[in-house]
Amino acid sequence: MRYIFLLASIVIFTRQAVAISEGQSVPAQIFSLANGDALSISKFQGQVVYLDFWASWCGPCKRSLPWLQEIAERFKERGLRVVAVNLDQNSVDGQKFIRELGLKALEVHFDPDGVSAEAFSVDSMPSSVLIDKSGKVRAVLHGFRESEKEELVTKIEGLL
Amino acid sequence: MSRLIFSVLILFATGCAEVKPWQRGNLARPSMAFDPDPLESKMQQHLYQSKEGGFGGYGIGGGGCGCS
Repeated sequence: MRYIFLLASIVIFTRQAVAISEGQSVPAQIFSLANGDALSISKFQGQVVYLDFWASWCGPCKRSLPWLQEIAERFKERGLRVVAVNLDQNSVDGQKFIRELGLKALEVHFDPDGVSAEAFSVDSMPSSVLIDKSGKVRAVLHGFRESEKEELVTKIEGLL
Repeated sequence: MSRLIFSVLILFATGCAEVKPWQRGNLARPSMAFDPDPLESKMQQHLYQSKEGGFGGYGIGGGGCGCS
């Protein structure tokens, strides 16, 4: 009886999170975001895309976004697109954050409902996905670590 | 058997809701911290120690034996 109860609990409470992983193709759908904004990753076909999910209240995002801006400027000519998706439930917080840090080189979208985050199975903040020219995921990053920057730059350069 | 059905139904009746990582903005506010003002907490602890001789119980060193 105890085991049946335990099994039922596991079945009911275990969520089958299908996280996006390396080698997978990115979702082809167009995400309808708030304020009439839309995000379509497939429109970047033929370009290397660094897709970053962030929020203004997320501590590591304060370090990752300025670095992303640096990367966006450095590899812009070679065809890298850095797309930063803000997941603040109140987009005004995200806009203020962008203004304060002067992040002008980033393509920022605001997704307060987390539609795109749901599709990309975001499980930590920040989360990033590196997508190659054919639309395949080449790296999935959870969080932001200074020690991973070099390796990531090498990966981006390899894809460009 | 009825106990089993009842147990399974009870599981469905729970009020658990998953908070997605991007929905944790309110939880990340400083006011939601366990100890929003560490300095204030330290002052309070100092007051208790001075006035009542009580010490500890706040997750810091000392078990309330008064021997620190």
